[in-house]
Amino acid sequence: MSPSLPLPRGAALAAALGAAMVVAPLAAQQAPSGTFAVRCGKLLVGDGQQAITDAWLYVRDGKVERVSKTPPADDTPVVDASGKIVMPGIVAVDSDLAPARDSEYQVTPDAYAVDAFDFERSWRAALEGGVTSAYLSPGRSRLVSGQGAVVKLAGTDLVERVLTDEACLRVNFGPAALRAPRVFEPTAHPTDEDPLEPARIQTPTSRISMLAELRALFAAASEQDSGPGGEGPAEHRYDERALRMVLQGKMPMRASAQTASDIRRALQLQQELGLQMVLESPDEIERVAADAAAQQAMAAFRMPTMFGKSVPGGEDRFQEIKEPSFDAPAKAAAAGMVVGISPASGVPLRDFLMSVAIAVRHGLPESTALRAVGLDAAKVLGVDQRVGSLQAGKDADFVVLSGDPLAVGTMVEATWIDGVRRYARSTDSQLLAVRAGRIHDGTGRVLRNGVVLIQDGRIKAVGEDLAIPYGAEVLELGDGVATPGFVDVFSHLGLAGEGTGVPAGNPGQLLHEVLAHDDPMFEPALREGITSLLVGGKDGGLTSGRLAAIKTGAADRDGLILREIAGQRMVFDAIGPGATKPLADQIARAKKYADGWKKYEKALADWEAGKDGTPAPEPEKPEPSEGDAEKKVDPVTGTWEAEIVIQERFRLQIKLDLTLKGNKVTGQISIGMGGRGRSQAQDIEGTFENGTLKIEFRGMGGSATLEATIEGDNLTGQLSLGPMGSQEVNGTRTSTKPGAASKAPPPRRKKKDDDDGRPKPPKTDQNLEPMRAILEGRGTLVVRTNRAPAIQGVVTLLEKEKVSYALTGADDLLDDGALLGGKTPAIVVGPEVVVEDDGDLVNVAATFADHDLPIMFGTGNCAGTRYLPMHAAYAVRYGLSPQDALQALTLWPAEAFHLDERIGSLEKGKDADLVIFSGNPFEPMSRVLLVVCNGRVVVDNREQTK
Amino acid sequence: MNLSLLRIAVASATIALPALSQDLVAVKAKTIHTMAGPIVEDGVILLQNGRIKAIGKQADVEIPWSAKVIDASDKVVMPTWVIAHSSGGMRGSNESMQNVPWLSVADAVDPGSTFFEGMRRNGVGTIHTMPGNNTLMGGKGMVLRPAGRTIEDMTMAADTGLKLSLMAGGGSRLQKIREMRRAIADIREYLADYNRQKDEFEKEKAAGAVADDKEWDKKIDRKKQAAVDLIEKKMKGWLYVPSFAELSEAMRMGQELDLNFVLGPNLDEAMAMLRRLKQPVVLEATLEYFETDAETREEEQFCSAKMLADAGVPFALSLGSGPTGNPWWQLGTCVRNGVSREQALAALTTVPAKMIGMDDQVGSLSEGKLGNLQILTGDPLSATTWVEMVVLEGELVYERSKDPRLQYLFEAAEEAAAPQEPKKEEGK
Repeated sequence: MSPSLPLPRGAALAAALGAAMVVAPLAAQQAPSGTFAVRCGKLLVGDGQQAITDAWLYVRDGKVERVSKTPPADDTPVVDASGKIVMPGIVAVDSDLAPARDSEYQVTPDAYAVDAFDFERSWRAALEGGVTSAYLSPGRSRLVSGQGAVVKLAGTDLVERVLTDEACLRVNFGPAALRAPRVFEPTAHPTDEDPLEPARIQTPTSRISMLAELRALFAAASEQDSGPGGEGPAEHRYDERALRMVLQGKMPMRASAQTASDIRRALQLQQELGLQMVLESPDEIERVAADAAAQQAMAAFRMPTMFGKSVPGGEDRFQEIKEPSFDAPAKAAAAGMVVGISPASGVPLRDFLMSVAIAVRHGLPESTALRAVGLDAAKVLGVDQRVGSLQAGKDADFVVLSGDPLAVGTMVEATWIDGVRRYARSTDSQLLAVRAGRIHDGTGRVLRNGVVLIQDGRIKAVGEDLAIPYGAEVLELGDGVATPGFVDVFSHLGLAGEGTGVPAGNPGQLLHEVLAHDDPMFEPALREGITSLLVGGKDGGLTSGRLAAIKTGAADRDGLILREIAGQRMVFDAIGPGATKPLADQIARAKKYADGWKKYEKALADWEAGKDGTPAPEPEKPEPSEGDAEKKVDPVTGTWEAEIVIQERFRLQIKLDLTLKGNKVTGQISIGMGGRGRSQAQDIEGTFENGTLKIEFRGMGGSATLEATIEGDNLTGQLSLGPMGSQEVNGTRTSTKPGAASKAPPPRRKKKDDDDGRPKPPKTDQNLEPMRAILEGRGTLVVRTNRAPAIQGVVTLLEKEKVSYALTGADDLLDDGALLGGKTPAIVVGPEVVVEDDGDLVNVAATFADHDLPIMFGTGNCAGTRYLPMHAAYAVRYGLSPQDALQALTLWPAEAFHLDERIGSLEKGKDADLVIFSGNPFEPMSRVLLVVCNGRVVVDNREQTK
Repeated sequence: MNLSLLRIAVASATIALPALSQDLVAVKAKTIHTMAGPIVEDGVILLQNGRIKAIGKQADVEIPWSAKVIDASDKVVMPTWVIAHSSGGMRGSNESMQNVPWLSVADAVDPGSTFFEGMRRNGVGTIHTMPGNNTLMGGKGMVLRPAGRTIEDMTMAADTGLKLSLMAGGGSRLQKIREMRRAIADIREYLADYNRQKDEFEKEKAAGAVADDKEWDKKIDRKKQAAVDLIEKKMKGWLYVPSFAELSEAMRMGQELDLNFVLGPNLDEAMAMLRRLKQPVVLEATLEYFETDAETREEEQFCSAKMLADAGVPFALSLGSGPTGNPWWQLGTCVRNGVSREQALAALTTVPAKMIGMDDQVGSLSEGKLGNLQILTGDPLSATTWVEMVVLEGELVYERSKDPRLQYLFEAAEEAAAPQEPKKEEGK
């Protein structure tokens, strides 16, 4: 034997690298190895015939031990793929995984494709597509470009990973083989005996000489010990062993031939020399398929379909374009050839099965298509002893699929190679698909066998029998009934104090700063499917209760707040002439306030639009001279001291040094714990009008306001400290001299050059903010009113003022729907939905609903919030239509509070808040199986109910 | 490499060098990094005939009255750097033909090249010069000292190894690997043929078919001699491995041939394979590189020196151009990435000396070794340290104070700085 012969490649690798090479495992964690059993919903053995449902695949030491219907003994580790389809790992009959550029030389049979393969790389896209073994091509342009290989795409033992490095000898019958470049082989020191020769032409240069050339190559190789083949310098001559192996039938010839005439030529050579042959991409096989089948030639196809890529060509009618032959695999298989299929070059291997499905679309039987990526593919590559099917003794290479192998949305859940899981679909999938037997989308529509697709917290699509996109996590609730997440329009959840009750409502309460997304109080409500709340303090007087809209199942603060201010609640039962005046006044004040903001916003918009031009300087208001305030003693100037007690625990001492100028108040405030030093004095600004002092300052983690009336040397009023709420303040003046304020450096004013003319925003009045939101259509005024005249009065006023409102209570309305004068405000009902009146049961909810008034349920509870759906069910028991009950829990409140952009129904673009019941939502026996809030599964009771 | 042959080569080169000082030279130093033992403080090195006669504390080593004294008693003295693989200082280090094992760098080295001047300035005393990386079998290398007017002056050892490269410039990796196998197979075939002919001759002679006085006189083809030496393991091969992808083939070749590896920087994929390297390797000048993770799309930084240190493989550093041309930069890069100081210093001294088979001559300071010293103003890893003097085989070959190029640079800088001074005063 000539010493030039390379060692068998496997042995060479083993010698070089030792027995086992460790490459970092990709996803081998948390999965059994060694001996285990896979519980398969359906097992496709890979021979295209056997599909066993509820089968067990037994794996031992990386090999398939057996396939059986019997479950394993208790101590055997189990991989659960029930409900899934398990099929053999895909064998790719062609690939571009070894990027082998061609040599300039025409004949290099001793080139090994395996040398160009990166074993150390992680072939994630391939594993994602379920591909476990792949053919590597040794270059594609030259006449004889080398030997192909078949390798596994993951594994630690490099020697084991090479299924064969001498899979075939690639011979090109196509036009590319006729275009080999000339080679220039200069001699280093030219002499007469060794002259400098011109560049050598490499044959064949036309099809007529192709067969002759190949015959000559094989003939030369058949002579033993003839030395290396070819011409030129030593490094460019070649070892003929591979050609001999092909002649001896030990290795197939992989004939690249697309056109029918090229295929004929290949068949001719095969017949003459008696070779085994695999045709590579024989697109025009149709006309010669019968002959090829008779000669037992096999075929490796690449499906020409490109997904999601621009495919140029055809813009010029005279231009010749190769017509793609989608049906070539079908024709070849029909003629009886063994066929393997892989995607076109450029199609990511993660789309392998979709590509194969195109062959089925063009006439290939489905079972043959599956064989073409399994057993038949392995036969084409000569590796069917080890891979291609899940028969006992073969390598445990298998793929767990989410659905039918060739369906559009089917994804690979996991890919196992040699009994080791090398890929597992990550569980924090971006796309969530919930499938339910019935979907009530909240608008009245019912979808059977519906799917809700969720992405980034929003609903991406809702429909019947929607195809589930690749990569989506699927939650199968085939018998479940899905509804939008429920809304409680009045709840105190999240506002309970520690040692104190829920505070009374107050329009200035900054609820959004108090509430925490991880408040454990939300969970019981969430478990009942209540995903949104309108929260506020307890109902009190005329101006009580700001409302905030929040989510119960939010993952973070941003997700918690649906809307910081969603409305205001008030109690109104005054009767008589002028009874509505206080309310009208309040609306008028709020309108003025809102107008101030509107003007500012317009001015700001104008200013921003005209920023490039020269902004008109704001006229400086003439300020009263310094002396004025000092001359006359005024009711404000001086030092004031007050003490407040917070939660009966903290005693705060407040000291104010105030100076009055005109109606402007400036000065300093310091607040501190008794005796232990005051906090640093802070600058304040405020106004004094009609005996009322209003001061704003920064403090206690937010902006704070002091609003008080001054009588003589006494001050009484409210101090609101941002999120800490409001406190009564009583103080006295201890000095009438301007104190620290006048000694303190004058308040810093913005430098002239900073003042770019930007309009100044009006002062924020937290007490009027809710009304402003209502007037601007960002909220709703909920009025508790019961008596008929009050109802009439308030409805008339609010309709006139065009204020968005809803009623609650409204007892007298039950008897007389005409009180509304034809208007249809939303009515909040609950928790008492059915009341006993003189021995008769009156269904409050149903009565309003029957008056065509949109109803909504509110509990006004903390812990009781969880019973909201039961209140609705109770109303259904006594006659409320389930349809209305559902709307009352979902869409109607969303519309009433102008939140229907975000919540209330299962429609594209809305927040993904939904509940799935085991049956009809208003059946007391129905269980909540699943709750999704902001796109996250927050309650999952599926296991418990099985 | 056959060490005895090399020793002869070195010895003869040593004798052939003229101008070698017969005198005694004593170098007094504050700190001596001997690289062969502990650091010597307040030491003295006594050189005679270009070799180290004695080394130790000033108290222990007596300086003869006749010795010429170099007083570096406020400086750091250490062995000159050893570069295990370099293609600098040549006019054309790559032949455009791929298979030219008979060439030698001796024909390309330009003793007047500023490369050698730069090496002296950087304290380099021993350079293993090799053909470039673009050639499959590029020719023979030699060990040079960067001082001398002619190649003969500079030669420390000739024909020190055959350069091989798996760099696939323009072609594909598998074709390059194929060509390498073919080229080696061709030499094996030639040698088998030659030996067969020789055996036949001997048989014929034994049978009396050839006259008794006729001896086998057919020589090995001069163009093939170096490659034959490689096959017969009489000559070491220096194989350039551009990336992790060629490493398995390189290791396979290492089973059959006596090879040293020169590794490119892209190695992270082959960490497991690196652990199986049982021999020291040379790293290319670029030590740090970035790679984007295919799965996470995160860019990660790797340092080839650190990876080898982690794999427990001794390595030698090489010098490139730009900042990587400075030994302190290369050493600093290693230390910054977590390689120990000792390992970094060894990578430019003892490890390369061992790799070129001259660890009994260079790379460390002990009695009997060549008097190759560099005198530094401070810590060798510091950017502000200057090489003050370089002594090669007892001869002062570089003095910073007499470095014309540095003088020119600094004069230019001073001139540029000078007229600005009054301006500064105005500013005040």
